[in-house]
Amino acid sequence: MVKADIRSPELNQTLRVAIGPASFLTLLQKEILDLVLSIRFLVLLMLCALLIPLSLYVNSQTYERWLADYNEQLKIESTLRSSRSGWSGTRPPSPLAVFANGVETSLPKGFSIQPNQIQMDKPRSYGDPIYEIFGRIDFLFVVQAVLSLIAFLFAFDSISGEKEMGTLRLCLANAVPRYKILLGKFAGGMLILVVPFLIATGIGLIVLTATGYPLFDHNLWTKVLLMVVASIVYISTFYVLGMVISSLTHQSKTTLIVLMLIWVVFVLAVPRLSIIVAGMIRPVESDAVIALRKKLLVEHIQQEKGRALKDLYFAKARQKGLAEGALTFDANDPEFVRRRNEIAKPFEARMRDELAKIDEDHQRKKQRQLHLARNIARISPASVFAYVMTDMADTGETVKVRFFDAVRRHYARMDRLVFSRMYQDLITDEGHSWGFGGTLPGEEPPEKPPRFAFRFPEISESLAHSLPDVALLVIYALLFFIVAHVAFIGYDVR
Amino acid sequence: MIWTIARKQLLINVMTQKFVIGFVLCQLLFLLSAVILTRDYEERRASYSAAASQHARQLRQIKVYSQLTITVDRPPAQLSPLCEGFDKRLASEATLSYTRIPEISMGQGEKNPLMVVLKSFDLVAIVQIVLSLLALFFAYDVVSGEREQGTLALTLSHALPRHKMLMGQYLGGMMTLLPMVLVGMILALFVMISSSSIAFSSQDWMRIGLIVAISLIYLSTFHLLAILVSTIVKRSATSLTVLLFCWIVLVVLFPHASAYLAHHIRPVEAKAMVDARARNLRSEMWQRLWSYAKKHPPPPHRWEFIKGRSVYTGDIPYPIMIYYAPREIMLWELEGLKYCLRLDMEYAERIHDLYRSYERTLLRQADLAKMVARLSPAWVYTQAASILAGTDADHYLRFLERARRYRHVVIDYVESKDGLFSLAYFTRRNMNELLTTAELEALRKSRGRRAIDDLIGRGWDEVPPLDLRDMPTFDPVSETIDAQIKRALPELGILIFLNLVLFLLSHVAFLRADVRAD
Amino acid sequence: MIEAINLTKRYEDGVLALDSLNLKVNPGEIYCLLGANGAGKTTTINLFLNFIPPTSGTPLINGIDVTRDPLEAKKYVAYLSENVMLYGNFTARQNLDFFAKLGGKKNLKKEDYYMVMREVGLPERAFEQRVKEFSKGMRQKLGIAICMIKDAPALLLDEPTAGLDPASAAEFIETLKELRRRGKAILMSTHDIFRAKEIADRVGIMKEGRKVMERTREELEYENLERLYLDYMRGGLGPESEERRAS
Repeated sequence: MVKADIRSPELNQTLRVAIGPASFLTLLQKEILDLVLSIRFLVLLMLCALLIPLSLYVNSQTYERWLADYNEQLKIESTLRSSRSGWSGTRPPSPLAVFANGVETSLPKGFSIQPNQIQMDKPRSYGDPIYEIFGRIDFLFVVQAVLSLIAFLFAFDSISGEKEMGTLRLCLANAVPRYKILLGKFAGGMLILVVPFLIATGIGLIVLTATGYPLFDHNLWTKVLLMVVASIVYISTFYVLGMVISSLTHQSKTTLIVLMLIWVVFVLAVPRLSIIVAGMIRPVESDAVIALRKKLLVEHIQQEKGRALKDLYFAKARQKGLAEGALTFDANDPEFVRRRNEIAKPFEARMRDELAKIDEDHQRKKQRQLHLARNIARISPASVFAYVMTDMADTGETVKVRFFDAVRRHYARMDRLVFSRMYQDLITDEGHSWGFGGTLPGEEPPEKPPRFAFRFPEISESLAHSLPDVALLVIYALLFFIVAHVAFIGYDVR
Repeated sequence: MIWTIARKQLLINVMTQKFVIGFVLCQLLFLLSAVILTRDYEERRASYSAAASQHARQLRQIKVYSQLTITVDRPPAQLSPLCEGFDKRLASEATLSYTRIPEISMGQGEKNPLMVVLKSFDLVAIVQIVLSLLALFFAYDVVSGEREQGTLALTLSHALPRHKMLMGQYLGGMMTLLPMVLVGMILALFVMISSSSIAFSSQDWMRIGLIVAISLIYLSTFHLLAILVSTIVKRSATSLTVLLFCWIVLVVLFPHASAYLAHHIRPVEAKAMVDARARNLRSEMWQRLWSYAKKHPPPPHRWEFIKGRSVYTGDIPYPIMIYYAPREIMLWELEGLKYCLRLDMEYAERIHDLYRSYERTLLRQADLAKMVARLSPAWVYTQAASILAGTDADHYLRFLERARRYRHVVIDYVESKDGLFSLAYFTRRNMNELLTTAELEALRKSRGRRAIDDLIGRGWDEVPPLDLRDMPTFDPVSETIDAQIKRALPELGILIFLNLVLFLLSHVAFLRADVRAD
Repeated sequence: MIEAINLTKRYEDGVLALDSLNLKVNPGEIYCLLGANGAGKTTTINLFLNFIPPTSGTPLINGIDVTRDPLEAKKYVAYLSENVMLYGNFTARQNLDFFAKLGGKKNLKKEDYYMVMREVGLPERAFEQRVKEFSKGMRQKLGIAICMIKDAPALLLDEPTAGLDPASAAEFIETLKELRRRGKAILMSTHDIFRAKEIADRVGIMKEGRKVMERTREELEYENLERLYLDYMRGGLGPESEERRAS
């Protein structure tokens, strides 16, 4: 507070004037009070209190069922004959799917393998097909779609509305720099948006722990914390964006329409379109087509192999004096086995190589398409946020890639240890066909074939992967704030 | 008078930046959606044709009746770019055979797990979400704003009955929304028609007209809601907040809540349990087959006299195809067939009943959810549109039902050709042309192996396919528009009812509203 | 205290809103700016508040160039705009509290606010009432209270008596007299010739952006302000030169 003396020659007196700077706190206080007293705050409270705990609870029930199914499946697998273990595997459900369902309901819940074939199971479902019809709300949806809309609702008249009311003029008739006003609005709005959100999330977390959700296992809570922080950044991005448009328009009604259209584009259009556009630019054959191609390849090579082995088998049958039409695989004749391996192995190696090539090729193309889709989608903060959240929840594309990689690695192990020690020959002659299969003599598979184990990424891995996207969100927020600042500096308040 | 007010409202709305922005964006969305979904339809149509011709080709290659496994295809709905519904989410084919009865099965579906919000972004979805928001945003201050401005008092100071003013406001607002919908639809239809895969019949045009009309009724609902709230609430900003809250609850919350409620009020058994029971039945069947096989061992035979034989398992007389076998073997197989096939078909029916009753519980649950979801005009609208577009769940269920009936038709046909419990089921030979093992041995001794080979023949490759040209074909009959309208009537009724109620309420509220600025 | 030196504003579309305005308001003086709508009165006030930049010329508040150091200048000015809504959800006192703090006055007590509100003639029951329920006159009074509580040496009032009933307008004039007595420099734009004649120390008439006439109180004793005003408005007399005024 500075006191000044103003000399007034006309009146021949000295006027004392006490002047001090307008503080940021005053502005902040006013913003908070104004927002709290409005009906919007009530609406926000109600929506948060309703949607967040409820969605968390419903999804946690589903997760428990998935977990029970998974444990049951593990039990079944452990009781399998040791020779059959490793021929199938199950994927554990991600506990954080409660927050963001992500790929959890589209990724296979397990697989089974045979020589030259990997068969994926169906994905987990919500339970009743009815949820397939009506969809499911999760935490990610509430923040991404609903809270962003509410953020716009709070921000749309922050500048243009005050201009319409005339109070903006009144404020600017004081010694308060424009950036302070903007900052006050941002801080006030964010506080008002964030507090109900945090309270509702807190309640939701309490409900979760009360129903037995393992929030404190394996540092889940760290990931949850990070997701909450990301949500706050996301909400602030939209709030600032609302302020930007408000400071670029002079009628709050115009602001509203523009914001609504932005919401539609960011939240509805871009996520979906990015996938489609990526599919058009870098098309990839469907899994069904690839599976068919692999099947045909296997059949083809099996037939070639059969033709090459035919004479050997027939000779053996003649040698053993079998009845016509009876062939056999003589495991006790080392020469027969050696000859058979000599002929068959190159074909099998070729089959292995070509199958691997088809797979690698397909995977690589899919990766590139996915990568492209992700980059295109980064136009919209909503998609960026979805990527961050699903990565944090271990239900994002990373986990998908990890799972398929893990399955392939497991198959490669099984192939090396078990399948390569087996034989599967198909001989055809004159319309008859004989199939032979089993373990090659002299090459017994290991006592305990490898079990499939899938591990979720460590928190540092998830973080490292989603860090660029988190940074992008923050950059968006900062960018929008800068634009708002520039726009507001030149804003005509009359 | 009404027209004057309406014109004023239309001009107010239209001569603004926001209208232009909204209009342009809507058209872009419509166009984009139409292009993408039409292309998608073309691809689906192409794979449907490919699948259908492949299945037809397969039929032309079968050589015995046992191979008759028919896959019928469901063509994609032509109007699916307008309203996708379940068209992609449910299977587009059904497979049937003597022992295989078609069940509900999911289709390829949406592979994108990050599509958190909408399942599909078809034209109906654009109307449902974007245009309804626009309707709110144009009308949220239609009364409260005019009151604040003072023009409400001014207008009513003239000799204008209040209800006429209300009608005028309503009409003006609807006239603003009309071009958005119509132009968008026209653009979309243009895109659709220019596709070679799409050809609309006159009934299709009527359907399209109805969908457009229902879209307008849907938008009118939100428009009226906005007018009502704008009348009751004094300040425009408050009115907007209230409306947005209502929108979120009606469009987002209710449909999800209905699924949740239905899940808890009418829970459905896990499919895994039904599958388990089905598996038990199948094991039971196989046990019975095995015990039959034990009691009926094959007569002694020489393997060399059997050609082209494939069976379920060698020790059970349940043949699939046999090119040639000695007579007593054939007889043994025939007797076995009569028992096994009959048993298999019986068990197929029993398992089918299991799944049928499971389906019924699913449907009952869905019905309850639908009833609750009817609180949401957004859901009602989508439901009505998808019924007319031929993409709702019932449409698929009808297809399934027809596939099941077709199976009976096919079985009757095969029976009429005496191909079911007879030799023709698994072979093309007649009993009289078959020699017994003893006769064959004698022949071989006397004339050598060559003679046997000549007698038996070269195998299935030289057998021409069965002539099935007189078999009834599956007709993917589509529902007539009358039937569809009848089914969509409850939904239509709800929308119209909502409109009337909201209009009445607005009327009453406006008559008693305080028009002073303050 | 409030001074405009050759203040000119030309908009991008070529419209000359203010043409070389020269004006000076001393402490303890009320200057009334008369003129038709669009004559440039509000533009003048907007220029003093740095809401728009001048094309040329200098607006000064307490000797500070508003365009060079707006924040410093604004410390010395209080503003009442035409048709203000204020923060509807807040009470009168809350509005007053906020704007007081914004104007640099912290640590004021409830009683201080009540005193000011009483001074401007707001009824007691309105002190803790939400502003959205106020009538226009009450809002106007609260606006004046906001100006008063800032206790700035210069006041800029834009059509302050527009829409007030005669009793409230008379109250307002009394308040202005008190403020003048306290040594404030007041620049007031108005249509109200009656009040202008009653209270102004000096009167300026604006027409199409130019100040075409200025009279002191003494000079007005001998002239009929209404006739002068109307004559100028009808476009009769041209702008006066400085020499004529001096004589």
